Amino acid sequence: MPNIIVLVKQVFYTQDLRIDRTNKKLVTEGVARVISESDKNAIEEAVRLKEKLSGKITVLTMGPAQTKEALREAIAMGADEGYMLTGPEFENSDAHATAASLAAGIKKIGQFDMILCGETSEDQYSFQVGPRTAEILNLPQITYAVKITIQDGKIVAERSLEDSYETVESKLPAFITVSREINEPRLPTLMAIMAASKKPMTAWTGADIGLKPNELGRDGSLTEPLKSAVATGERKRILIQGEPKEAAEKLASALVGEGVVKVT
Amino acid sequence: MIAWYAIGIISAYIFITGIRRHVQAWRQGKAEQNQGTTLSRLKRLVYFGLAQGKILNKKYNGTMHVLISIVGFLLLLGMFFPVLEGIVGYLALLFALGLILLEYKRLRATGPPLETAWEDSFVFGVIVAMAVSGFLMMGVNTWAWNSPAGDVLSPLFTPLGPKVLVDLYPSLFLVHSALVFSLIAYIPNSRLIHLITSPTNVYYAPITIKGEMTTPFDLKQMMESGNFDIKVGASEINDFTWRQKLSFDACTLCQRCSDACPAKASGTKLSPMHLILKLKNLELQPPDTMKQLHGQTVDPEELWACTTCRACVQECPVLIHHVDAICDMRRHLMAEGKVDKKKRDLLTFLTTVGNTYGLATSDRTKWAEGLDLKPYGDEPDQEFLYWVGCAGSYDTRNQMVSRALVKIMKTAQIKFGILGNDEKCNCEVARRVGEEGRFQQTAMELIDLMNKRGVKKIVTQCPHCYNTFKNEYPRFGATFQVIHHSQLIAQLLREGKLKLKKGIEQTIAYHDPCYLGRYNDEYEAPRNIIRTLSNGKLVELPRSRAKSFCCGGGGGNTWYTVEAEKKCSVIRIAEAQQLSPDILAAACPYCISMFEDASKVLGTSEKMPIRDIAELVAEALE
Repeated sequence: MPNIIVLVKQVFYTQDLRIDRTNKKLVTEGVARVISESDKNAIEEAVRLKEKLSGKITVLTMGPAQTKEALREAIAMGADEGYMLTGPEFENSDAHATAASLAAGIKKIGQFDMILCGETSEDQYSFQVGPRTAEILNLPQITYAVKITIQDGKIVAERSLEDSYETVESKLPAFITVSREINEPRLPTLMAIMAASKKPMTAWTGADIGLKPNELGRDGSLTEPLKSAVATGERKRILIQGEPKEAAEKLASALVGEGVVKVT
Repeated sequence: MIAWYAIGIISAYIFITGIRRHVQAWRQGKAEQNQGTTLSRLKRLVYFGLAQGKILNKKYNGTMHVLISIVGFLLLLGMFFPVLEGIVGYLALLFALGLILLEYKRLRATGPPLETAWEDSFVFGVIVAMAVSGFLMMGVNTWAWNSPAGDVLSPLFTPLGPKVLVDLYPSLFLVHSALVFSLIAYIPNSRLIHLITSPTNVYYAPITIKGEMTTPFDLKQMMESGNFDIKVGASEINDFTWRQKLSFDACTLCQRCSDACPAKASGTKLSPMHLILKLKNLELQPPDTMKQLHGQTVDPEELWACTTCRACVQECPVLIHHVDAICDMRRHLMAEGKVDKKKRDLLTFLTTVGNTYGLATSDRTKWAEGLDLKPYGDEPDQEFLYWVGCAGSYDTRNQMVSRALVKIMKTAQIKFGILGNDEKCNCEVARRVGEEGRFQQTAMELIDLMNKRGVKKIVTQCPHCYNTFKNEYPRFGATFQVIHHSQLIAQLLREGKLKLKKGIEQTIAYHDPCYLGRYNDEYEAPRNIIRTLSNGKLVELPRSRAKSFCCGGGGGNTWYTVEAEKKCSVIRIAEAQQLSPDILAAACPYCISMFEDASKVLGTSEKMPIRDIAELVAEALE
């Protein structure tokens, strides 16, 4: 009967983002917000564990008011209740400040056997918030999990490393970040999302979780973005022609030549 | 005579108990209001039941069926009403002809035998024995009927002498009656149950708009009340309404639905008749058995293979609605989140970027760059909102159709505007894959948007958008008129507002899109356009109009892969190729996309290009 806390982040739907060519800024107007992909995997994994072992799933998120939608969606997927850290004091948090806030939120929630979150968020791709939060909470952590099983009060997880898999074991409670390949998250229907509004959802401010203003947001951050730029790259536009067999050979050798493919 | 009554009463008892078992099974289903007036339903009963309107669509089978059913019924009445005695002799001959036609058909049947084959042979044997005993009666008792068969047979019996004949007749009558009565008693346990269930279903089948799917809940009302506790979709047999359960029980195993089904023809797991039979068998199981649909009884692949093309419903002589049942079961799978990645992606695209392709909202009007199109509402005298649709906006092949239609409307000086980047999928496809909530929410949003912009008339090249706006949105408050581009172009040509500079010398075959033809009965407008264009060189495909064969793209099937042996589109292109027309025309973006792909597979792109009717007309304007 594990008590699971899942950390989720709401992000802009990246496929719909574009950059204004004149001021080189992201155009976010009218762009939908969704739960970051690997966080959806974390929710799905928690729901699957709950379906097998029963237990309770609590979702914790941080963000502006509309982040509530992410909580509702997570509840529609099968979570039991949701908490959100919201308010201007949390704005412009870097990975350090975010982890500190989330850790404080987790402490306030209290009981848990396991914390799950996605390996990274789709907007920042820093891969840091999970491990940092685990460190603050002083929990054993398993990152990049692609398979989780619970046996005799312990967790056994398979981790995806660059070119291999690793199986590790940890006592509970533990902190796990999951990779996209761990599962296929379910899609809740609109009706389920609407019905989720009736489940308990609580909003906390910085003061609620007992953090001082200088521990939150930009003031609590260790890093500061100085400048953003648009990456530009020229495509090589190489066209390989010929009969399929011949063309495939040329393509393969071109890829090897570019160093994209290694021949062992 | 006592024996006669005894057999009669026993058989009536068995018959009634059997029928009660069926009725009780139906009544376990959910409630459903009767739709349509009693008179309209009686009319339909006369047309489809008594006059066998749809059964006669197949000449041989229909004739055979009329001879056996209607004549058989009159013969039964003849047992009770002496008035009919004058014609019983002739009716019997017609009945016998029906049996001969049936046996000939049975002998020539191909394909695997039905599960009920043994039972069917038994029933057939009883009917034949009944007929033989009837004819013997006529031979023995020539004075009772005016019977040609009796006249032929009587010389065989004359040597027996009148006394024997007088004694023999009651025994024959008893045998004949016993056969008739036992057949009646056996009806509830055999496929003959359709004698009762089919007309009953014809009477109760709802009189509704063809293009409108059922509405399982009212989202607006639920949002107002805050109560979302409702089970959506069918997970067990009793989640269907009593009327749907009656309809499954009405299946006669005629197989017309499966013969017409594109999913069946392409070798998917779906066969509409077998699906209905599985539901029928499940509902007739004893009440305490498990009645779960998904898994053991129904495979999700069967449900997802359906293109919602309506060929099965069109063909069914007893008005079973296969597509509604399939969609009800899809709704459950969707509510449970039991859908594969492609469907989840599709729905995510609809909620995030409002199109079926997952492309950026800001790119919706890229196709129109340089065309100087006005947003709807910017000019006071705009007659139409041109609804481009997702395919017309994002799919490069169908963008060509959009540009052609713009050219036509501009040439004809039609004032129109577009919604631009505010246009988004009307969620026809969401509804058909079972996401009813998303569909209703989008309907409310779009109706609100269009009302604010003052939209009165919509023109669109997509029959799916057309059908949903025309037949499904009114329930959610839409009042605008909807017209398909084929209808608009035909009208412009007819009224002389569009003058062609040249004709097309090639032969053109036309493929009827399901949602324009079968769902909305628009068969003539596209044909009129082609006739005008090609000087009458219109070629009809073997399966055309209401019998058109789906391209395979409907019901969400454009967006996910169903395991099949041969794609519907490939089957259809091969069919069209038999006539070797110069051009295959269609009037639906799904058909255009599907056929373009299939033409490449079959290598027919050059000898039989795929064209939308708007493209053909736009070319003729140059």
